[in-house]
Amino acid sequence: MPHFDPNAFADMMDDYIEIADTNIKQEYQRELNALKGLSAEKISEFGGTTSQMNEIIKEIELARDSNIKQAGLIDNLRTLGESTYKLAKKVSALVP
Amino acid sequence: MFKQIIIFLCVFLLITGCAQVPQSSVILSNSIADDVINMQKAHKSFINYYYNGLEQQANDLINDKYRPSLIRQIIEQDVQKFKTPDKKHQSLFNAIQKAFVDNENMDQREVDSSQSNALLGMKFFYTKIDKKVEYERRKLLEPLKKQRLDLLSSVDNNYMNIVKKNAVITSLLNSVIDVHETQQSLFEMAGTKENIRENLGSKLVNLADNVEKIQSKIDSSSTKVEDVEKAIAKFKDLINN
Repeated sequence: MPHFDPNAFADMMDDYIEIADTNIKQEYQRELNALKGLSAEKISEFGGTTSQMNEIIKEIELARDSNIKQAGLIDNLRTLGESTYKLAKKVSALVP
Repeated sequence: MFKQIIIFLCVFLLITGCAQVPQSSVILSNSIADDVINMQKAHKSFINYYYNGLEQQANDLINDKYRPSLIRQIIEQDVQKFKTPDKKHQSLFNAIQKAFVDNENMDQREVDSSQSNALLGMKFFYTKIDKKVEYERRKLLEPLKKQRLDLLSSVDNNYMNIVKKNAVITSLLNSVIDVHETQQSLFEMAGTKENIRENLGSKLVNLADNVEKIQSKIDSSSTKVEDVEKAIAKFKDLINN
C-alpha cells in the first residue's frame, strides 16, 4: 500500500473544506442572512439628513459680529474718555 | 427705606427691561444644545447596541456552529477515504493509526517517517481549518464593522450640524441682549427716550468703529493741543451726525 503523503493530504483538505463549507452555509443559511445587518438605504435612512445652510449661517454670524461691535461701544467710550482726560491734563493746567 | 426700594425697582427694571430678547432665550438655546448632544449619545448607544449584538451573534455562529461543523464534516470525508480500500492510504486517520498504533511491524526508520508524515498531516488539518474559520469570521464581521462606522459617522455629522446651527443662533441671541443693554446704557447717559433705539442701531456700528480709531490715534499721538482739538472735534462730529 502506498504511504501517506501529507502534501497530497493538504490539497485534499482544500477540497474537503470547500464541500463542508457549502453544506454548512446551506444548513445555517437563515442565521447567516440575519447577520447581514443593514442595507445602504437603511443606513442612510437611520443616519438622518440635515441641511448645511452655510450661507444663512454666515449671514447670522455677520449680524452677531455687528452686534458685538455695538456692545463694545460703552467700553470704548469709557477708554476714550479716560485717554482724552489724561492727554488734556498734560496740555492744560485747568484740568484738575 | 422707601427710597431704597424705589431705587432698587428702577435698577431692576432697567436691567431686565432693556433687552427685547429675554436672557431665558439664551438659556433655552443652550438647553437645546445639551439635549441634542444627549440625543446624539442615545442614538449612538442604540447603534452600538445593535451592532454589538450582531457581532456577538456572528462570533457565536462561527465558534459554536461553523467551526465544529467544519471539523466534523472534514473528519467524515477523511473517514470515507479510510473506509475505501484503494484510497485508505490518503486518510489522515489511517496515517495516525499506522504511525502511532499499528507500528509493530515497522523498523524505527519507517516509524519515524510515518509519524513525521502523520504529524505534518495533522498540522495541515488544523492550520487549514483555522485559516478558513477566521476567513469566514472576517467575511461576516467586516461588513458589520463598516456599517457601524458609516452609521455612526452619519449620525455624528448630522448632530454636529444641528449643534453648530444652534450655537450660531445662541451667539446671535447673546449679542442681541448685549447690544440692547449697551444701547440702554447710552440712552441713560444721554437722557434720551428708548423709542429712538431703532434709528440709532446702524449708526452705532459706525460710531463704534470711529471711536476705536480715535482711541488708537490718541494712544499713539503726541501731546499737541491741536491733536486733542482735532480728536474732540471729530468725536463731536460723530455724535452730532
